[in-house]
Amino acid sequence: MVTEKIKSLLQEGLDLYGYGKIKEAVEKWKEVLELDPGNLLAMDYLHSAGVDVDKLFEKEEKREDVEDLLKNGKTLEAYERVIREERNSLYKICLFELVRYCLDREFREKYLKRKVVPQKLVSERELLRKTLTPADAFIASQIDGKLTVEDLIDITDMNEFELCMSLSRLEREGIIKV
Amino acid sequence: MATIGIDLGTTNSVVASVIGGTPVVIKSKEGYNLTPSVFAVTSKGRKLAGHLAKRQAILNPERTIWGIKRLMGKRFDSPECKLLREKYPYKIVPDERGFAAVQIGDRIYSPQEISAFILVELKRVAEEYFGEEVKKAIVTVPAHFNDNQRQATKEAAQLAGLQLLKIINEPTASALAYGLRWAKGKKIVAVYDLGGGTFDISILQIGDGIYEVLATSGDTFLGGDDFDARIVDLLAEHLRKERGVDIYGDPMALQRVKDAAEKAKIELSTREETVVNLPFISSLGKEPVHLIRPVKRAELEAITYDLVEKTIGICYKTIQDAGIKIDDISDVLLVGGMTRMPLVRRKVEQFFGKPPVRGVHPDEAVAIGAAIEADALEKRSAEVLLIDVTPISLGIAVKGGVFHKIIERNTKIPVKKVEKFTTSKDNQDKVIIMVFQGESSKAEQNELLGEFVLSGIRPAPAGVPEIEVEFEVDHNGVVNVSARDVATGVAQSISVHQHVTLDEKRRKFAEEELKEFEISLKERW
Repeated sequence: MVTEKIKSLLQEGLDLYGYGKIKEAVEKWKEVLELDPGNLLAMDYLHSAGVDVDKLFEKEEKREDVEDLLKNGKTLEAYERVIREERNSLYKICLFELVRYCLDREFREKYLKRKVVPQKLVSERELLRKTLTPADAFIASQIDGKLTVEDLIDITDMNEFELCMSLSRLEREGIIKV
Repeated sequence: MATIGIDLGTTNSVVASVIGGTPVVIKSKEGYNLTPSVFAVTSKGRKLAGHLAKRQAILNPERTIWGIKRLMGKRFDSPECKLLREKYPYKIVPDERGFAAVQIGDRIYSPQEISAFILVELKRVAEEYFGEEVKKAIVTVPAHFNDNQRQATKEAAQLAGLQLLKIINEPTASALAYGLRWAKGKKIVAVYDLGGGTFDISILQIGDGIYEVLATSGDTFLGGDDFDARIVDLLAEHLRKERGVDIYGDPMALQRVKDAAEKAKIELSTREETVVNLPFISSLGKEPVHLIRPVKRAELEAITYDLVEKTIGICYKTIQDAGIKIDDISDVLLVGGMTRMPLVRRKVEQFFGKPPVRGVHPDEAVAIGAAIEADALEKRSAEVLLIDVTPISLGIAVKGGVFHKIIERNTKIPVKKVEKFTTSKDNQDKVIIMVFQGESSKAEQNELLGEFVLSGIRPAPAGVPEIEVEFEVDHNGVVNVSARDVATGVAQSISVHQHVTLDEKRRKFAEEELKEFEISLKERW
């Protein structure tokens, strides 16, 4: 639906542009960016129409809190902040991609580069005092001091990133150590 | 080079070896005595065997193969296979010769290939322990396995790169493990084997190295898994009643409850009470749901009593089939992890009127016995060598669909027997020789091992031509059958094992795949 709408807006803009109605065309393409903030075609057309595309995003408020967390190595916390938010602007999309990239790199370094065997630090009974999702509790229940992170990926049928997310949350809660 | 004994079980498998004169079970590097007989291909295409495969079974049911032993050497249209198709979540399909096979994605695996993956995992466990290549092995099979099932097992071992010294019967291996080879004179022994997935009861007569199976029976769907399932039901019902949560629809929760049920069952063999403790098993909105439920031994016994009773009923019938009285039995041997359960021990003791023999871990007995025999074969020590017998009668179908036995069960092998037959119609120029194995007088109720046609018989009235049928079982248990028209000398023969084994092309393909798997295991560990 949205793609159809975008397609038609892009085309309408081109038609208007062809009739010399530049202002109206620009409005159509801006509408596209509202629907799909990273749309390269729209940005390209706007650029051709003499619009300073970068300026379009300047109104955006900077997320200094997230950028600070990243600078201080608190990638997981930064990720937890950006994942909850709507990614409705180019800036927000870029920030999210950046945080995710940093976290992914951190996970690879920490859990997947070598054979890593996570160890459980608390008993099932002690787990009651923590706050966990059922999925994280399931991962915790599979950690037996024998399975490697690679094994855990195989037996849980989760993707690497999801599983590493779970492991790092369990680690932060003091439930496991790696 | 070390020799090993392998108990290739329905649910779990064990590998053992004689080290410095003592038979011991070989623990994996991860510390396990048992290896689950489970094979899986993950959604990412990775092949897993043993513990890892078992642990993802509930999350990946269609690509996880367990209980493959029940399909070994079975035809797709057999009643057993029909039942399995209803029970197993994975896909069972016929192969090009009509035998049962399984399908994962678009790849079809024969049961012997799946078993080979499990054997490769066991081989890895042994090789890591010895620090060198291990090749020579004995693999055990249930006493009731027919030739097709034994040939399939043999092929599985070959595919796994093992040099199979011999196949021996599980109850025989157990008797060896319990040291009954030292027995003087003849004695009758009952082997009660309650494993993870199946129950077997065998009545053996042992004497002078010969282990005759007088009778064997069981239930291929009765074992530890059923006991676990009862506990899972109990816990699921508790959660449903207390919190309104259904764990059967939640694979992650179900996997945890299953693991906990098995653990609780094991604990209740040595303790009167245990507590199942599974925090954050589920959630209701934002509120977490925990499963905390004490379970008493008496409660477990109450919910599984009928399962144990069922085994006793089968024991009663088997003793009747063997044509003996309970008092004729001198020793009762317990085999299989489930016999650690106090209720099982109690009921068995009550029924047989004597306490079971102690001294061997019941879940290790079969592998230990196989290891003892493998070691003896390797050293050629006459003392413990088993004398092999044909486990089930062999014969052909004759007029009216009657099964005519040519080699009776418990006949020592190698053996060769010849019998004369004739035609049933005037001028009959050919006969179809259908080779069966079984004990039923109706041929169709027995297992068809193979068939061939003898043609070119000289025209003559019915009953005149003489057709000699020769059965030969070699020392490996391979059955060769030939038929000859005495008047013309025209002959035909088959080696019946060719029937069930893979053709050259499929075998080559499987061997390559298994080699790759073996390499991937070595890289992983």
